[in-house]
Amino acid sequence: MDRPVENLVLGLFYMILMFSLLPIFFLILLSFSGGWPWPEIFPSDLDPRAWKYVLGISSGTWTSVWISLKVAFFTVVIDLILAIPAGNALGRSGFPLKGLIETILMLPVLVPPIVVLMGLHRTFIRLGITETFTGVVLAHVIPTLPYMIRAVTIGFEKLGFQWEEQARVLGAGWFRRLQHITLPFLLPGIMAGSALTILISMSQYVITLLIGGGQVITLTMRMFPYVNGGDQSTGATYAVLFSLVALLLLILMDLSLNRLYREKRL
Amino acid sequence: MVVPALASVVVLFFGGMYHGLLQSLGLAPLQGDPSFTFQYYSELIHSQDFWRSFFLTLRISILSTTFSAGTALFALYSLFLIRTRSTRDRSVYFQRFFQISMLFPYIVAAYMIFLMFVQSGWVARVLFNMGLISRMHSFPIITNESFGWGIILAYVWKTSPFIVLLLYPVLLRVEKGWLEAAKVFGACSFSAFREIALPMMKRPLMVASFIVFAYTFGAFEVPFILGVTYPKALSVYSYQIYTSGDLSEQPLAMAINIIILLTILMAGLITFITASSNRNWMETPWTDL
Repeated sequence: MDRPVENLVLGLFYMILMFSLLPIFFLILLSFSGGWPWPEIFPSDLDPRAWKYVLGISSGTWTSVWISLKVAFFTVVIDLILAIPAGNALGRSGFPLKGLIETILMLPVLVPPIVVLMGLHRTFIRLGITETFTGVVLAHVIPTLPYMIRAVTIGFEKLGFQWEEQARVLGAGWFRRLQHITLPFLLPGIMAGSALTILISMSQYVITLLIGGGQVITLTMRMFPYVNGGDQSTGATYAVLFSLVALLLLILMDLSLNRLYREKRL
Repeated sequence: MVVPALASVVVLFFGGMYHGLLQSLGLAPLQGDPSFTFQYYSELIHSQDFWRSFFLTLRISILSTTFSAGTALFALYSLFLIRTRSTRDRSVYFQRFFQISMLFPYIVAAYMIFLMFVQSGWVARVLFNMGLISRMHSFPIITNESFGWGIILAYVWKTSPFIVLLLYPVLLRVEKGWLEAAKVFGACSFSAFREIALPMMKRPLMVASFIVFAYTFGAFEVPFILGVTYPKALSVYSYQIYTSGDLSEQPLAMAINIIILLTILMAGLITFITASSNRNWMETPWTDL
């Protein structure tokens, strides 16, 4: 293909890129609009009304942010408790049926939550943990655990046995081995897995709705009625706020990891 | 050491699925005695509403997967051009840029598509101001209509970056030397992409497309926001039966879920068979995902 056609292809690609980012820009604009009558392309009436409402105490946004963070945090903790030993085994030792076990652990990625959810709901009713925080966290473990296991396994694959072995030969105790060898190898994977877990946990709607029975109101639950046919500016504000919270968490995690490595505390 | 993780997955994931399966077969009724029956499945098979939902969902998933893979391949060809045209490889920045939409949850993605493409939305406003449409109502209905274009748009927006993310590392393994050789034989950039990069990407592309298909076939949020009351996507259909309050209808919802699962399994099987039948001529170390 000759140069002009290639330029055309690239031009189209840049356009697709721009268009794919346009909705984000539009969402931010809408969140700051008072009213936005047809056919204005840019709102003439800019008004922080929706932001004032959403960030105000009466809307319950902050409680929801807190609940979302708590659910995400405990989901990460449970995932880590399960994924670290599993990743250790999968990442650096061979055992019978390893391939099968790995596949089973990855399956929840391919099976939509709705297929599992209703059976799980019945079980949780019998255990008495529907409409509770615990139930929601346990349910969030299902779609997130595969990603955590995958991320941690990669860390253990890189670690292998030889580095710790060498440190032991050189006389390092278990704590110093953990601090200087094991953690530095594993932390990037743990962080990546945690970031994904947080993102997925925060985004869940139908799982939280059914298992939480409308009693565990995460930010997504709070946002949903506005997004599904409610006031558009408020919906847009919640959507922007949600993305900001998620983005902020990811950036914070990335920064703290970088800082740990720069200061060579690990 | 895998036991705790395995046990959790088995109890929560397979337990939930198993319980659903039992209920759909009448083996775990909420009232009355358990008795094995295909009654709920046959009720679905004879229901026109079910089939309309099924084919709607299938069409949405197939179109989303196709468009998403098409967009991803186009993006990959563009990245390939950016990578090969200059000595400094800037394609990685563009790749990152393309990934931004992955940061947004599906609900927000669905909402954005709604706001952009609803009849009073931004796209219609731009067209109106350009004089391309005369009234708000001459803009076609794209969101909340029975074909599911809005749902497809939201899925393509969210999933094509995912396919690019999975395939981009493969693109990076195309070495400059091979392209030099291709050029010597007179290949243009497009045929170099088709003959060298594409065969390497074929299997990962199939796997990625299958993941997208599986996701879009069972996902709930996007069709819930962008769909219509009739016909509903299968997941929404099942959810509404389950939460309708009529306990005797619940096995129907479970049966729909099992059918969703079976469809995804079938798609997985087809992917697997096609991928392994292509193996012979592609069995080279670098074609593995």
